[in-house]
Amino acid sequence: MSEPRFRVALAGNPNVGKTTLFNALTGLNQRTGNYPGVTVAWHAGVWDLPGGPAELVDLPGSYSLSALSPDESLVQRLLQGVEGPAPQALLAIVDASNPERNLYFLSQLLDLGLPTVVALNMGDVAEAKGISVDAAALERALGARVVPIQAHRRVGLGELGRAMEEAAAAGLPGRGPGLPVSGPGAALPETIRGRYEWARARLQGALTRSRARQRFSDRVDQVLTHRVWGLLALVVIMGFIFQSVFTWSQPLMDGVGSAVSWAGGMLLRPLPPGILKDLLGDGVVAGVGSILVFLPQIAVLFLFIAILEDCGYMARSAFLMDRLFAKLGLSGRSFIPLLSSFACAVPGILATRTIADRKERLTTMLVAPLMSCSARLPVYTVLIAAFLPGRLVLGFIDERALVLLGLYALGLAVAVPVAWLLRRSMKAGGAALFLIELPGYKWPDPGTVARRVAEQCREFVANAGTIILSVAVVLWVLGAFPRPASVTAPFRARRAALEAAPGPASARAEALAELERREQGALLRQSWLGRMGRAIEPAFEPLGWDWRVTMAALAAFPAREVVIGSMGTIFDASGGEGDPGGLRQALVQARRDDGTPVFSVAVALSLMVFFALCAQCASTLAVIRRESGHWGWAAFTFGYMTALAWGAGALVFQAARALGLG
Amino acid sequence: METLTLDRLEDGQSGTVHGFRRLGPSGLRLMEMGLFEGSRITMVRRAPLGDPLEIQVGDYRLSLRRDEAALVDIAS
Repeated sequence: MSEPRFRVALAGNPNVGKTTLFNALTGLNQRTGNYPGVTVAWHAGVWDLPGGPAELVDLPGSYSLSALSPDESLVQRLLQGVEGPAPQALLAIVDASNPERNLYFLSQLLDLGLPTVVALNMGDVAEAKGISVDAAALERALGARVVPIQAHRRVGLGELGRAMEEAAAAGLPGRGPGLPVSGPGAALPETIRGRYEWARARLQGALTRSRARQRFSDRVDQVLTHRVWGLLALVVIMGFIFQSVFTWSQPLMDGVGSAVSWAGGMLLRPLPPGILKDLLGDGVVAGVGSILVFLPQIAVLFLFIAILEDCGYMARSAFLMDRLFAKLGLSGRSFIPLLSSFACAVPGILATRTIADRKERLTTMLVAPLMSCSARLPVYTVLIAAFLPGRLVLGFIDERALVLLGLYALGLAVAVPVAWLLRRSMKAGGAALFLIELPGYKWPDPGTVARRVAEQCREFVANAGTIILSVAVVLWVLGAFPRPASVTAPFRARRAALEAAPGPASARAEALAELERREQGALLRQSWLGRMGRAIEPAFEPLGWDWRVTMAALAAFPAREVVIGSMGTIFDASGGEGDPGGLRQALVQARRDDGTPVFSVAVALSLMVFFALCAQCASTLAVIRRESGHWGWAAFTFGYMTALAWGAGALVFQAARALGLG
Repeated sequence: METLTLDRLEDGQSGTVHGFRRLGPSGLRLMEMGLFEGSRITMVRRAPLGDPLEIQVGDYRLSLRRDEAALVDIAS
């Protein structure tokens, strides 16, 4: 394919079908990335024009170029070539059902003086609202080609290509009002009024209004934003999404897990047993597995997020919930990202992209991992089952249910002051303005939704994946070395004795497997990781942790749920990971060097509270780094969450011991 | 004709923008979104917890908080 001949920037207001048009024009031929230093994603693709390919760059949707927000100043810098190469032509998309405000932005675009073609979209919606815009009349008024299109039905795209080809060849800009686009003059009241007057004058001969039918959107909103039914609908919709995330993604996650271990086994079968095989199997394959296992949840959750966004409900959820978040310096836009984080913080953090204000977005991102995600649940359930007998509190509440509920509430309760403090400390530079358009409802475009989901999954694997994989390999090395002969020799001797002993083959295999597990445990306790656990044991003494517990917590850095498997190995649980009964028994029977039990109710509680608040999840930290554009924010999240987790764990341990649960 | 601020419009009530109490960045942004002298505004509804508000501006629906709405003088 030949090189693109020139660059066209696609600009327009949000919610006017810009992404749908971009996808329709460029097909699968797209590249995506992030603008340097900012957290705004760019998309570029190849648009096949009659005279050959051109590059089409999709700019973030914006209402103005006057740079009152960072995203808008980015659009302005991109269009004027301050950031990256300047475009040679402009494709402006305009919503025919809301012509005045769309022409306000168009007036700024035309004043840039680039060859411009206007795509007049959503004529069908306009008609239902009793609005009709005559493209030919508007074309004469603007001095630029105006092509009526229906992006979601792929109508008018050929004509749009021909118009762009001609406009770019002729190099003729449209006629804007000639008011300042940047600098101090751009945001003056006179300038804004001047642009709206210009817009009204251009629409004079082109716009006709007739009686509107009662709009579908209005009828839907009478229910969905109603003060009773609206909240009820929100609960039902979110409940349905959560139910689906768990029922759909759980089998998929299990499937991914088995597929990865099966594929790993097949790949490694030809290798002789030994250290290389262990590295590949327990380090690399397990690392790949811990990346891929996230994908079903990310995909399912993002499917819903993309649908909610594309159909227009996202804005309503923000409208309904804004009041609860306003006091924290956040807004209703944080609602879906934070709620999603109860399933998994990774898609939750990715969903913060819909928050326009940067500080608000960063705050949401940094508190999202405090929501108790599904990976914490196995940690809670194993420890609760092992150490809480299920006494009744106040005569009718099961203490196990109470503790579980408390752990979920804890994250939420801690997030409130943390968000407030973060937002306050970032306040400098102007408060965020909550101003959101409530667009008309529409059927989500399957192509747009599918692309969004695929893009998020791809980005997660490509960017977070490499980090998670390296963390998994490093931790494997720390846990596997050194392997002193003093530890392995006795096991080797016992293995040889077992193999030589008479008896049924199945019993022998079982005994060998048990021996293997015990050797792993002995090696792990001897390993660098074990030494690290011992070294930092004093730091965790206020939480009542034995060094082996500390070590299990360290080993869980790649992903929280790993703590269960590591404790199984460290405490020599029989039956391996698939047997929670064996693990429970091993935990209950574990003894310190002085013969006292490692675990008590107080230790179990402090461990659970620690895991409720800690940031032991490499994926989350990798995604925070990626989305905030900076390692510092990931380090900050890890630091503040670990500090909180430690403090709360110590508090709970000391309190529980004082109450006689030690 | 009476003058009141936008946040005091009753649900379903319409009015015309008369001016701004204070024209900071918020006010300018509201102007860019189509709220300036002479614009016709209708209060559509309030969110279940009383804030934010949903208004009709020109041909579209906008949600804004009471604090910002209180900057806008309306003649009804």
